[in-house]
Amino acid sequence: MRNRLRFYDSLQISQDFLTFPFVARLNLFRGPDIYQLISEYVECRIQEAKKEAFREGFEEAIERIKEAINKEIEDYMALVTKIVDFIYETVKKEFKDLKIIEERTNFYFGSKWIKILFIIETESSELEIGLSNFLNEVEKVVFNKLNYVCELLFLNKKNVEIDQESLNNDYPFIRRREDAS
Amino acid sequence: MPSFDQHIKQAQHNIEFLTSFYKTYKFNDWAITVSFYTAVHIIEAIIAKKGEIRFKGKEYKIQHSDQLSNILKTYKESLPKNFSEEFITHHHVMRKLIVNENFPQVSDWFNLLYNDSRTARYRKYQWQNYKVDLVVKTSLKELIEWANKESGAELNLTL
Repeated sequence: MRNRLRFYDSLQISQDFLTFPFVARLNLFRGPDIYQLISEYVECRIQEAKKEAFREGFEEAIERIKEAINKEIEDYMALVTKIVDFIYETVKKEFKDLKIIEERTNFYFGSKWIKILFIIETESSELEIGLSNFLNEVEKVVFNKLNYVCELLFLNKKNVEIDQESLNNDYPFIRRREDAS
Repeated sequence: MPSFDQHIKQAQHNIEFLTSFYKTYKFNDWAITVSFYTAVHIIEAIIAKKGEIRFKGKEYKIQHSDQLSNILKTYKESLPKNFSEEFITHHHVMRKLIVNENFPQVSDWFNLLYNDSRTARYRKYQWQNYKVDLVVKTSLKELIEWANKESGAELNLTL
């Protein structure tokens, strides 16, 4: 019998080995059902791959939901801030004898309710009416154009003893002002 | 649900109670409270009389503001965008939204009363005389005149 190896160069052997049919190679071994073993192994890998794909899909979905929630919260908080600042600036310009002392709010992330309370100081009841009307107009715009339910209230602290505890409980957040005296 | 007549009768009842003590300025907290609830009856009377309102541009056949809440609770698909179901249970909030959209002539006056009723607890229910005058002689008076004109009611506020 000729020794085949003597007629093959190493490159050819490698080529021959690598292209040797898989099924044929299996036939070289006797023993337990190797097809069964392989199919079990392949099934196991597929299950792992499925789990991995699900985990990746799940993570991707969670990531997308997280981004959407963050965006919602950001939009909501940005709108609250915008309303507060818009009113503060407008009052400063248009209501000369009315001073906003504090702008207080609470955040309702579930309902996206915008509730802002302006603590003001003024001697003029006409200015109070003016402010009330102005706040009502802003509420309407926010609800009609932006679809957010908005409650803008004010409290004139002139000659009134304030229940600070209730106020802190219902409106715990106060807008920071750099120029606050 | 109370009818138009029942709401008007209750509003007049409240007005008479208010005028019985208002000028003493001894019960300013009650003057504000009674004024607000008189306004509520006036608004509900007009809703009952009209029999339909608009909410976010849609027409609803209702006799009382609470019925809008029930409709929105039942047909959740009709809830406007960003409008949480939570608001349905806030009857005062719902009524104010109805007033703003349907009765713009008096929404500012109603809002002033609404503001005072919502902030009363933070001022420990202490009301200066000028505040009571503001509420009774302007807000409530304007609402009464509007209701009389709008519906033929004969509410009478004699101060």
